[in-house]
Amino acid sequence: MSALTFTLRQKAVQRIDVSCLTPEKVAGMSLDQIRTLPIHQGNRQVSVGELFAVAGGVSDELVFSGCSQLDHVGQGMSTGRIRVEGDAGAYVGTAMRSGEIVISGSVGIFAACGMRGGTLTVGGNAGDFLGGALPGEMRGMRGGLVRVLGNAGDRAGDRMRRGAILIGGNAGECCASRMIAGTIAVFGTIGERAGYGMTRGTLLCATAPDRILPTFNECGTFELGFLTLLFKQWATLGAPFAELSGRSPRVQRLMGDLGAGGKGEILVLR
Amino acid sequence: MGLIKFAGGKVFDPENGVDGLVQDIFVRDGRIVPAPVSGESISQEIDCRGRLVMAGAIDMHTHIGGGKVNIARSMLPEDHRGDLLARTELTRASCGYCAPGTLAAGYRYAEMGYTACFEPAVLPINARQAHMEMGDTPIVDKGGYVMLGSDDFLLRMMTAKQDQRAIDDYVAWTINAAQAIGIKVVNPGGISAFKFNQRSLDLDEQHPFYSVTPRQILKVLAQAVHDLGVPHPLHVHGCNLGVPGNVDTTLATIQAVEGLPMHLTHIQFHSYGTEGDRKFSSGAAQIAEAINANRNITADVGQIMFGQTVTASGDNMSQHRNSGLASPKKFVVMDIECDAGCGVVPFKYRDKNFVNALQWAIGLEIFLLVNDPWRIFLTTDHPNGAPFTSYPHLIKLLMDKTYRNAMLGTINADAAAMSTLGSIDREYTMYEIATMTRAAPARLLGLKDRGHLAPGAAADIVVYREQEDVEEMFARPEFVFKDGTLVARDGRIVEVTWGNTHVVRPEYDPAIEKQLKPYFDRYHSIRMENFKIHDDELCECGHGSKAMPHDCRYKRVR
Ligand SMILES: [Zn+2]
Ligand SMILES: [Zn+2]
Ligand SMILES: [Zn+2]
Repeated sequence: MSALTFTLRQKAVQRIDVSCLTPEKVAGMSLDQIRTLPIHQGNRQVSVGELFAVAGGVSDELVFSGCSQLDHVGQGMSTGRIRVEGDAGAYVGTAMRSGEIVISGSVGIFAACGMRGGTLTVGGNAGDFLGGALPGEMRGMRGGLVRVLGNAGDRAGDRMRRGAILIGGNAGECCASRMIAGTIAVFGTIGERAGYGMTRGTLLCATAPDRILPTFNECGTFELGFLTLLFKQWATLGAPFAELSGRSPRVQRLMGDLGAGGKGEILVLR
Repeated sequence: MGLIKFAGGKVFDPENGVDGLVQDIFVRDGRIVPAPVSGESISQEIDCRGRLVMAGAIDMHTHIGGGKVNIARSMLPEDHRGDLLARTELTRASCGYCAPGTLAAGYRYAEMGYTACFEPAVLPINARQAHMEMGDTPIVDKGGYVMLGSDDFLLRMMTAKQDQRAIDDYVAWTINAAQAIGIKVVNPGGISAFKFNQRSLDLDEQHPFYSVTPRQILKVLAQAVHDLGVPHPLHVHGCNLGVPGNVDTTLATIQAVEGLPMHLTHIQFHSYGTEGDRKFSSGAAQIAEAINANRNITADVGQIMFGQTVTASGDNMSQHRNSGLASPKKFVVMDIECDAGCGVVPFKYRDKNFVNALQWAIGLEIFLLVNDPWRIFLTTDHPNGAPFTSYPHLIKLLMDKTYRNAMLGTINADAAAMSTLGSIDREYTMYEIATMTRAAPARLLGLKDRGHLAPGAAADIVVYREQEDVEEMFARPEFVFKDGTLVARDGRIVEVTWGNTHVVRPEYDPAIEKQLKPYFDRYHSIRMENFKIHDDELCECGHGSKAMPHDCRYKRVR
């Protein structure tokens, strides 16, 4: 069964909202039916066929030619697989429930916001508010797995409630801000004010942050058994995530944010 | 403009005693006119055969503008994302289900046949903002009740035992300065007492700082409104909102004004007893009995409907008390320039929740047990009980006993068992619905030329296709005319106009400004002269709309 492919007819000048194109939303449709679906480009409504050359077979796998103007890729999807060859825009995988999204390039802001389940893999970098909360919402990502091989922007995991965000490169400022629960791991360096307003949850850093907020308390160095299990679980996730497998679970533990209850933890690998 | 004939419709016009008679109505230049003498040509005929014809509906208590609606809007972006209204050739884009933008509010009201809406909580200091938002609400007419009763100036006057005449002058000055059509009091004195760390203030409890009681505040304000001849009685959001057992407070409040006219708003929230295992019961029967017995009292219900909404109130005490129930979990309770307060708490009413289900039943009981449709008004206290878009559904609940009892069967069973709703046979007639949504609010507000269809009235006219399902009928009238212009057809906007602002201008002794000016200079964030809203501001902010002053001391005889 070949994938259903969407190739942009020309370079997009306006932002395109592709939230109408998920495996379950196009299930059972013929190619012609898909081509006539309404889709928003900028402030206009056009048809899918006007923007994309649609080809391939009926499938639960959709493939897009990448473009940083493609917003809302896989928004709310609950089954199947979406691949983007190249970059995608903002809101990739927001409120996603299940299934898999793979972006070979980079994604914009608000990727995996309010995500509930499934997996999102980004080959390049991610913008701000990765796995965070949409403005005004009280909870960010609340399930699923996000992997970013490159860097993440500011506020990764803002108000995150459950699930895991793994960042292969560096994280920007205020990583894990207002985090409620869940796990974030950063394999590169981490920006200023990590854990700002964090109430619970775990932020694991491979590299010690330059500075830590004064509202985090140093609690000493431990060998935490659960990390061994966690690292083993990540063994199948490829580099650099799998490289921790078998490594000593020895970490420096900092608790905070004391301004928000102080039950969150920043663990720095030793 | 030529002569428009609304031909052969069944007319419901309670102000003029017309109950479903087939009549023609004639309109010229935005006004209803007498039948023309023979030979005059009709330029447009609206075929109303098999249709119901009524005046435009009037919502006399709906939060559509002012500070706290804007707080609700900015606090609930998810409400906006979740309910988008796309632009058309005619209408602009807007959004929002429980806290709609000004544009969505105006369009939706007009599509439902509403032609006037009154914002009940205009804080004097926020009046300019409220008028700007109302001015940006298309099609419908607007007006506001200005809020007094927890403001420092009045409480100081009362503590200093200034005489009623001086208080009358201050009240009249405030109505004029804020371009209002009435006076509202919210939790009299309580909003102020909250800031002195009181968490409740009962009717006869003394304010911890000013040494006045809510009863005294109600009394002087009701007296002032009466002395000034303002047609709309003092609009009262009483003490102890939402507290089980507050039925006693409400009954005492009715007696507190000693026969002066008083309007009790969202009375459903003030009609709770303490019977039963859960110490929460319906006080609807006692409240309805008191309203029936006291002809000086009017009330609007503030019906709740199940689903997501947001509560926005000047009552910082009750909102602070409810903040733990916020859904989603966020709220705002704040002071406003030391003169008032406000609280915004998003809330989801659930039909399987005992308290919410009983609140739903209590509201309906009050509707059905108050005998006089001239004195009970159809509101959900938008958006506090539910968004105003639920009105057609509410009308169906009132008009159709079978439907109502079917709904009663689906709510929390313990609540249903505690309610007398199932044993009430009353079904509202079309005439009574027309009364409570048109004629009565116009009369209550002193709007001579609205809410009825006699010659001289404004041509705010709604034509409904007669249908089995009244919910469907009231949701999408066939034609809605605003001041003689066809603005909506079959539930879709066909022309965008901008309504006017209804006000009253009670007289006062300008010497009151000798007290006010130094007070503003010393304590306020704005000078007295800038505090006053001028007519040209209403015009600029309202896309050219006008202030429409109504007479004080005007009393319509029934
Ligand atoms: Zn109120
Ligand atoms: Zn209200
Ligand atoms: Zn303006």
